[in-house]
Amino acid sequence: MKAKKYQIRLLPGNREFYAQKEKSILEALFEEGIFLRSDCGGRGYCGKCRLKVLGSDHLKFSPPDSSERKIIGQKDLAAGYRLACCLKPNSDLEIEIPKSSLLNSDLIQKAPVDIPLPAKFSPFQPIDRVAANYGLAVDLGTTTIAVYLCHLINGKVIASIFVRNPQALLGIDVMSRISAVSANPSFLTRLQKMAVKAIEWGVLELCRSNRINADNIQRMVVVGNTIMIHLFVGTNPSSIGVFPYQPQFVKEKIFKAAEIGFEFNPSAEVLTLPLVSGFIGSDILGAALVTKMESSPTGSMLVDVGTNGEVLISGRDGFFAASCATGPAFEGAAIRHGMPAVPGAVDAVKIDRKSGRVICSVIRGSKNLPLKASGKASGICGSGVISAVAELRRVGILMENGRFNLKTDSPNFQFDENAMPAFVLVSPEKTQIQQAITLSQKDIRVIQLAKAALGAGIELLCRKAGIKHPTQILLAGAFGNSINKKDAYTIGMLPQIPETKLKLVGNAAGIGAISALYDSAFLDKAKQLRRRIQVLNLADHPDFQETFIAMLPFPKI
Amino acid sequence: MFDLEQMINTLIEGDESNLITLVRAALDQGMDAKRILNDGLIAGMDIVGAKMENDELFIPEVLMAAKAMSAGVEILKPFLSADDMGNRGIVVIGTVKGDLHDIGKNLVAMMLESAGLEVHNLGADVSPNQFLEVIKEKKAGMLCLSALLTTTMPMMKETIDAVTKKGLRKTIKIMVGGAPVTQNFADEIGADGYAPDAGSAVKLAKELLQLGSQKI
Ligand code: B12
Ligand code: FES
Repeated sequence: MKAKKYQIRLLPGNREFYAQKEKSILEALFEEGIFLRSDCGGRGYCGKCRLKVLGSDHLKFSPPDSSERKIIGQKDLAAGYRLACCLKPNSDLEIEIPKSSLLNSDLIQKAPVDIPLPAKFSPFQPIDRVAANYGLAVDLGTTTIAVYLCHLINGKVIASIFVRNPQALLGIDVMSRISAVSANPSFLTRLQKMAVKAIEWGVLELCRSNRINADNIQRMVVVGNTIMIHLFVGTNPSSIGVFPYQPQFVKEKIFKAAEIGFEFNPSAEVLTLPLVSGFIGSDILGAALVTKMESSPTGSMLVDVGTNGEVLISGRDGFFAASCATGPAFEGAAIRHGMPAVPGAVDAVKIDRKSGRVICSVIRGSKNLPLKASGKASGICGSGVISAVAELRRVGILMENGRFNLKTDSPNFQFDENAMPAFVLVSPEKTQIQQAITLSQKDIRVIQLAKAALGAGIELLCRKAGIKHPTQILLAGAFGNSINKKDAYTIGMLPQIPETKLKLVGNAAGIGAISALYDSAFLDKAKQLRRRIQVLNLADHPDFQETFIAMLPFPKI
Repeated sequence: MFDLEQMINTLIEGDESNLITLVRAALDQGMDAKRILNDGLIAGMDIVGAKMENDELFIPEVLMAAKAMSAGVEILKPFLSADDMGNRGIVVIGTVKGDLHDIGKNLVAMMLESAGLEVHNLGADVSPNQFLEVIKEKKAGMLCLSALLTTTMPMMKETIDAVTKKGLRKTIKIMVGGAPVTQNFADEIGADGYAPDAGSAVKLAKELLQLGSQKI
């Protein structure tokens, strides 16, 4: 029997296409090459794939279930908003996609060309001096892929580019991607190709803008979390998805570029650095080496905040690592108006003590990528969320237990149909989305869970390593150097050591990959350090629950 | 007459020592233990559940309330007959195999217990067979499954299928939950119900077990 099809008309523009009855509109759009944000991989709980259906018949023909109702809210539902991943056509439809739901090219952004390679790193040794003298370092992140084009002889980073990881279509976190593969093994090839194509796209872009012949690229070093590396080399990561989370391999791997599908220079050598465990990858190992963790004094701690918060500490006898399930809240996901740190994102918030006015700083478009409605916000990124929560705590609008203090009578409170409060950061007329950008009570709870997961991990790791507090903290990852130290302390995501002992080290994992390009000893160092790391499994730690719950409230002001 | 209002508020605040004092005082003043339990403690936990549902109360506060509640129940126990405690729904709860997240599930277990149900909490990483054994042994009327990982959600279906295969599906209600679970998914795998948080889980459990608002 032929599957029943309905006509979908996309506004504005009147583009038309047909969608099958059994498939969600999200999938139908995907097949049309229109990509919506789908942080949960189309599972109906992230709320990012909102679209607007014109006409109200859809409520009758394909009524929303209670989960969808709850996510969208009565008011928006009445206005026609639905989740694209839940909506299956049962009649012809006219739909409109809000800009904030599009996974668009704004999300592909150029990184500054001169990344800070601190002087303290040992000078790189060129591998050899043949003509083909370019190399690529890749930090294959779950959300963002950083590609660095480097000169193998003079040791310089020529240019770099950040590319959004297209695998996000199958879910923003690694577990969603694993389940996609577990449910349908053919997705393994698809995910593998997505990563390779995205990197290739970045490489060609870098070569083109720097007038470099891709044939002259000799080596590529890739670091990433364990699951990303499995997917990159085409190994099924399903075993990491369930207890006891065992990876299929941890050793380094070397390929010819053509073997894994690269076209830029088929004979270039591709190296992936060794992994530590299912949830501690080569990104941490690379970051640890460039920050000299192997020779740092007892009590030094490396914290890499991404979709998971990985922590490595140097203890009295050896190194201990743990992966804390923070979730992607610090990356601006899992939050109602959350978004990556790209143009249009609120990245810092101040509240005027006298007038109570909220002042937001918004990331502007770069020269290469001008932001159309410049200065108008479309969401809030990780450092913005941290800044907002810290500021709300300081002015007393947010209480220690994480509840909004309604007695403050702030005019910025807004209530939904269940009388639940949200705090308005940017009013609708100042946004690109014609909707206020808010932090809801639920968003605050997600932040509390994330910071408690990180805090509990750090605490238990310190105990395991036999120290009371870290003596210094090297903070790497998602927000690079944009996070405000005071804010991080105010919300309690890190132990409060003297500010001078908290160092922001940016994308240390990427620098690790760059170092591995030049430094012939790097791989050996990585292998050695790997052997000295003991992984602490928080999942069956008897004290986890108590520690975690004790860390849920915010610190006293 | 003793003021139960104050007891309820003390419970909501999770103030264990004051709650104990109030429960004792109520008994001293000759109030019926069953009445204290139903109209004081259980009524209070109903409110806690509702406040949790709309994110007003968070994990630490709910936990404190639940702890205070059980301290209160301990004091009442000698004065309650088996009859007062009887006619309760029997619930088996656990996190499915492959998943070790159990904080949310424990919260659900505590709230169900506070609502007067008999709860057998099997912990985390529980295999379908382990569930089956306890269901049979305890003659449970309800099975609650929790999963926090997208990768372990299929295990919920496997567990439900195992219950069906053993011929137990008709005599047991199945409720599922956990952050990535949705109503849609619950329907797909043939569960009887889904609740997004511990507060609504209690309501739904009573509904499914047809305990209604009937007092225990
Ligand atoms: C705490 C935590 C942990 C702890 C768990 C400790 C423990 N004993 O439970 C530790 C650190 C060990 C951990 C480990 C891992 N975690 Co974890 N973890 C979390 C975290 C931060 C909070 C979960 C939690 O306790 N919430 C609080 C409780 C109260 O809420 P809840 O569980 O949702 O429960 C409520 C409702 O869902 C409902 N409910 C729950 N169960 C049931 C059952 C029924 C029947 C009903 C009706 C209702 C119901 O009622 C509850 C109360 O209202 C979440 C992130 C987040 N923001 O959710 C990640 C998260 C769940 N973890 C995640 C991951 C990936 C892992 C790891 C696999 C990898 C890692 N290291 O990070 C490991 C695996 C280990 C394992 N246990 O399986 C991911 C899952 C992603 C996905 N798509 O699957 C999350 C979402 C974070 C993320 N995005 O990366 N984690
Ligand atoms: S809710 Fe639709 S993709 Fe997440």
